[in-house]
Amino acid sequence: MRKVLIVLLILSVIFAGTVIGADKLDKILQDGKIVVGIALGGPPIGFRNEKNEPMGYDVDVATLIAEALGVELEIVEVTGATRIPMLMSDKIDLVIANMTANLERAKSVDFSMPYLRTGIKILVRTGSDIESIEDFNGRKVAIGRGTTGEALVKKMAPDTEFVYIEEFTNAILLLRQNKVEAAIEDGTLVDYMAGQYDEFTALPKLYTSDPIGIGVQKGNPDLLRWIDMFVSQFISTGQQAELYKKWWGVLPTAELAYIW
Amino acid sequence: MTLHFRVIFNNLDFLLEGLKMTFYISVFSLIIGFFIGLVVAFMRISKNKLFSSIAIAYVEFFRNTPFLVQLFFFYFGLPELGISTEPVTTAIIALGINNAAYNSEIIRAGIISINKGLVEGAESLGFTKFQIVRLIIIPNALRVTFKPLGSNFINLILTTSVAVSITANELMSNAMTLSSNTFRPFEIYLTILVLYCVLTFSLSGLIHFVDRKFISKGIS
Repeated sequence: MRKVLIVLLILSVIFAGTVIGADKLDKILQDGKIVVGIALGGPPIGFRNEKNEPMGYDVDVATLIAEALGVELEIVEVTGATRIPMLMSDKIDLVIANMTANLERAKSVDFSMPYLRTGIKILVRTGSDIESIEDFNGRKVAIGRGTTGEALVKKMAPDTEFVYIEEFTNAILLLRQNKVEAAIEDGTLVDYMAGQYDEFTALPKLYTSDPIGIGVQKGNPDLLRWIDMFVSQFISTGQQAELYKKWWGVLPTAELAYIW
Repeated sequence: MTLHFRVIFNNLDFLLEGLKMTFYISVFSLIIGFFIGLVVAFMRISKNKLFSSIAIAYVEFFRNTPFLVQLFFFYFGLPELGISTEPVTTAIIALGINNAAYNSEIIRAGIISINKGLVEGAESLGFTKFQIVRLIIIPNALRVTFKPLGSNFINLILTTSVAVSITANELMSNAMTLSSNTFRPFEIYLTILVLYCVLTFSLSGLIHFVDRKFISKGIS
């Protein structure tokens, strides 16, 4: 009997955290603080400057959201592999981490309407003979875990040697040290790197047209609704185009839809 | 919260592939770590000042710096000097070199603990220096240090999981890949915790068995 009680006690402690309370929006407003998970591994979307401060497009979006909510912003660094688990385990309130909104992920998290659009592109060393994903077979390619690029390469070039990286900046290092032949990531990152360093070239082909959305934990309709409305106004007021120009130097190539 | 262990069964091959790589890294780094440790232990107690100071520097350096930093230095740092190695090879070498520093201290203690009379007896029987080392010192030192070395080896197996950070596709890496594709971190990490336990428990079982059967036999 005592053993059963102890087991029950342990189980109740484990599952106590998963009991769903009020909507996250209430909690954020009450605490006066929003915790946002941002990937800081690839400029210009998210990175750290010389003073180690988070910078980039996603950081600016998070700042605007906190301002509009009238709460304090706390940034937590996430990676492609940790962003969804951290959201699901209540470590963060939102994911603004260059995350493509797809149907597979939407089974686990809710997505806002897209606040950015991008596609998968390939980065190679200048002068490389790789021309498309099909050329990856039998070669080493730097890929982020659980990314859209990984799924694409698995389908189009299954014999690729996958070199899993945590951050896109590591791909740059691996390419430079000849440890991989190519890297595959969102065009926003690939174009930026090719623009920064002459030794790298971005292949022109855009493989997908991906909506990038803000991730919200399931079961928080109020917060999701608020974020949707924010994103819509962010686009309709021209703030989005302005922010894009700030980080990429040009106006966005893909036009984003808005409702409000 | 509902648990979906089907994720594990559907991807068991993938996880076992990672386990195989972890095993491979463990075995080779263990061998390297043992032999370098043995050499360093003898250098450390050698009367030659140069040898003993090299050994001291080696042990202190690798025991007083974080392993992750050593690993990054080997993998990302050395290629800048033109020394470039594969992720798995780098992990084996780095783990071996790091573990050797700890092993050498244990083996040294074992050598020091040997009764001087044993060595003197062997000398008076006309054994050469090399014979004394091979037949008297090493077997006796290893007999005393077998168990502490074993716990070092277990530590080594657990540390192999750090190799994921330099893109080696071992157990931890495959678990992370699976976790970010299926979003079932609880089930996946629980499973690989069990798999690591299988590895370490079989090693400690083996150590116990060898110890009871051959080494501590006759010593109470």
